[in-house]
Amino acid sequence: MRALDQQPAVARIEALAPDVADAIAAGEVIDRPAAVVKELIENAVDAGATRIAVRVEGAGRQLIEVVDDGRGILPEDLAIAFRRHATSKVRSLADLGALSTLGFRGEALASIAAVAEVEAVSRARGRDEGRRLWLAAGAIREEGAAPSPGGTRISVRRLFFNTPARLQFLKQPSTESAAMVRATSDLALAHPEIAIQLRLEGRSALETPGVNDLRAVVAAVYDAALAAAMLQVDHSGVSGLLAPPSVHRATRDHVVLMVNRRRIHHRNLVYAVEQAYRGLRQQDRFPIAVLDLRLDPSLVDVNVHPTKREVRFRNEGAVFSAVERACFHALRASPLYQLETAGGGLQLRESSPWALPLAPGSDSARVDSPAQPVGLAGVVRPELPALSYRAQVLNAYLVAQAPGALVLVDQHAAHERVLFDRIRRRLAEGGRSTQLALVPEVVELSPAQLAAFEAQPDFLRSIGFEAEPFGPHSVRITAVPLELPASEVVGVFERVLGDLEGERTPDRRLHEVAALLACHSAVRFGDALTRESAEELLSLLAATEEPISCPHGRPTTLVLRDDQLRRLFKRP
Amino acid sequence: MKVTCAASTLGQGLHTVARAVSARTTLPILNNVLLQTSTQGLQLTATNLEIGIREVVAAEVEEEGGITVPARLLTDFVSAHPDEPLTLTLDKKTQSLAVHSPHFDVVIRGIDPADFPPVPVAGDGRKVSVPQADLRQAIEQTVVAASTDEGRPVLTGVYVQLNGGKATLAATDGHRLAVRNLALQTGGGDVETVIIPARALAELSRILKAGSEAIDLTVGAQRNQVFFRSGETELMSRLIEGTYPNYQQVIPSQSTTTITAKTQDLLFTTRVVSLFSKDAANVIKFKAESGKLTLTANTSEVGNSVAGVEARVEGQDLQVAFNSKYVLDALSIVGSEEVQLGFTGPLNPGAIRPVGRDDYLYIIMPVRVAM
Repeated sequence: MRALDQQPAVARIEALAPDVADAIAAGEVIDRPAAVVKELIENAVDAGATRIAVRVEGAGRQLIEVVDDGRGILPEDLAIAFRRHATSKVRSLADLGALSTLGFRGEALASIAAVAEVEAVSRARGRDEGRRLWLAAGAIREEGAAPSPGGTRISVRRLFFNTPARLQFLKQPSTESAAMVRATSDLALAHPEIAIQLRLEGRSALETPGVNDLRAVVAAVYDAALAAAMLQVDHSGVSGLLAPPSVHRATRDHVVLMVNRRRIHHRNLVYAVEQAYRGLRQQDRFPIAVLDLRLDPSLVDVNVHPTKREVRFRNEGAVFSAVERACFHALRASPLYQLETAGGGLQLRESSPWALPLAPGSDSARVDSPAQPVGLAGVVRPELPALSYRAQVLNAYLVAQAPGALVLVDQHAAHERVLFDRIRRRLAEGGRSTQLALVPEVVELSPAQLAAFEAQPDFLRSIGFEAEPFGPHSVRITAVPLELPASEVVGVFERVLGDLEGERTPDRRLHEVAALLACHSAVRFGDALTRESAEELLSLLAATEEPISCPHGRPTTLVLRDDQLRRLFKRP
Repeated sequence: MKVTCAASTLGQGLHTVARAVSARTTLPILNNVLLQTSTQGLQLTATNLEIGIREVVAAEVEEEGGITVPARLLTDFVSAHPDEPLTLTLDKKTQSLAVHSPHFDVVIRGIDPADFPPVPVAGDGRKVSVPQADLRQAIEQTVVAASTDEGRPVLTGVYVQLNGGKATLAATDGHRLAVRNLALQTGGGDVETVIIPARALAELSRILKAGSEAIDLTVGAQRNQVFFRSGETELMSRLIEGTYPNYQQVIPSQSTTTITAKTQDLLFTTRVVSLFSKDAANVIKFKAESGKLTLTANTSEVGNSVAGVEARVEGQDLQVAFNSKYVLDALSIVGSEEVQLGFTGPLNPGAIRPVGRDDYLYIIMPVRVAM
């Protein structure tokens, strides 16, 4: 009997206390500071704001404040707004079928208030006086009249103070900050008509002009050069901007898709964008795009996921092909693509140096096999013939003579190949060759770059970069890979940090870094070379393992055989 | 304008000022040289907006005036011309310059001198003078260490400090540092510092003459320009704005290993050994062991090279690697018969000093390699 007494009693089932229930439900919507930023900006957008200012302190744990100049909240509604399922955006079930606002579930404010201290000050349009509300863990602590400039200001403090588990799962402050920048950037790209400003720890992280110019927003989020290079998309109900094939990123995160201006996440549609680049992009480099799909709201179901990130389409196949078609159209206007389709003349085979440009109409040109490599079939390891240097032309190509052939060498690609082999061998062997700095260079990093820097110190050291934190947003580069010219140090350092965001196998990553270092350390197209350097380059190239192509797969060498030249010149 | 002067005199003057003519420019008038009559003769001016050079050549002035003409064309013509008197006459209406000599009559179309950018003249300001030959050596010993990376503008300059009767020139590209002290011939006063573009000093050193003749240095009153003047030649340069890094703190105060060698021997051996370092990004290793110095370089493809150098080695044994280019640069400009290398460890800056003089110092950061 005593043993039975000690059995635990069967637990009773009880409805959760409201505060517990709210905190659990809130976790679905508000999982990290970036979610607060996203929800509050979306509310401001729905309120018709033309300017939205976001301020973040302590990586979102101290303060997230969003100020807008929108319609505001009626004083009598302010407290109701913080109740679960309270919204001004949906009235009846029928409204759900045709949503045009970003929010509709009436959950965001209640969820935020459940896990933080929230101060809301708002003055509705047409009212003289504003109202202030102060809540902690979902309970109203203070409410009263308050002066307000019009619009709404929501200040969220001590986020997750009552949910220690959530707090524990927060990542590095720099990672959380990067997520907030990303969330803000996404919304800024979706709403070029709104001036959106994000200040992170007192520093401006993003500022868009709000002049309804998507390019201007791209310039603010990325940079002006990219904004200018972006291709216009406007086809099959899909509009926006698309990066030309020459510009790419290491992760898929840079395709921003919207349906009726609402940011969505849809794996398959991102794939549709990538499909449009078929043959124009490397397997592991991804496009940058901002695309808005105009669709009848009744054909989209956005109420799939609490954060409204996922959507369902009535006819996904049609949407997929519309996106792919629109991107394809835009890419046709890109210079690189025109070169490839209009080319037909220059066909270089990576597998053999003995390829020849076949002039249209020449007797050897066959439509069915335009790029048949001539001779040397079955060569295992491509080798360069013995080259004797003749001249540099256009400050870009080295002209050399081989037995019975004229050889043109792309000086940049050739040097890239030489350096790539050397750097890759060194990295693979774990050997280091690092020039230590006498006067270290200080670089300011974005939150995402800082996160990558903190996460991968060993990798950076292994490739020859050494750096140490220098103030909250900067690092000091104390050593650099030996080959890298001074002018390239900062650019390459930032690029390496950017590429660290993407998932890679160690081998793949090594390959990429070696290619990056080689590319930036190599002589450039347009550099004049002395005879000695040119000869040196040719002999080093001949000693490499794959002399005929650069690490990006472009050819280094074009061999024009005498018999082929004779044919082109119509010589018997 | 109508002037007469000897072809050789004019040719030399043109040769000097032509150093400031821009090779590539979107402003066509910068390809031109400005000819103006002055009380001493004919004044020639050229500028690329960063530096300007002015020289007055002896000429007989019959009629005052000025014109700008393509510098390259006039220089080539005058240099090719036999040394005979040339008469230059301006046709104001067509803005063209007629050059008359016993053998030739040419007309060169010009551009109105009013369009030529003003090249300022040294006004009031801190003025000192130094022997030309000393300044030339000081420039050669420092500019090599300046950076060419426009991303860090202050490092593309040479930091010049005037302090009492002494001037100090310092330059660094972030990996090496060169510092040279220089006694002033005249002038003195409080500490004043400027950053002069290394390119401007390199041009200046080409027009400086050997010998002890002095050259004046004047810091513009606005502190944004510097002027060098010697005889009838004047070079003006803009100054680089910004804060120069505190290079003093990277100079090691002592060394634990000291190597003394004949400069030429060490230079020769370093050069030969480094032929084998080309494929390893020019890394050359210095090994000081039981009183001997050995230099090595190797690469998997080219092979390797080891050489001993006759030297006095004092202190601890040590192995340290450098970019051979930095070492070769230092040894070629140190300018003394013997040179002393000082090290404190494989990852600490190494110092190269001339033996018998304490006015020059060259610091190099080593390369971290698997030894």
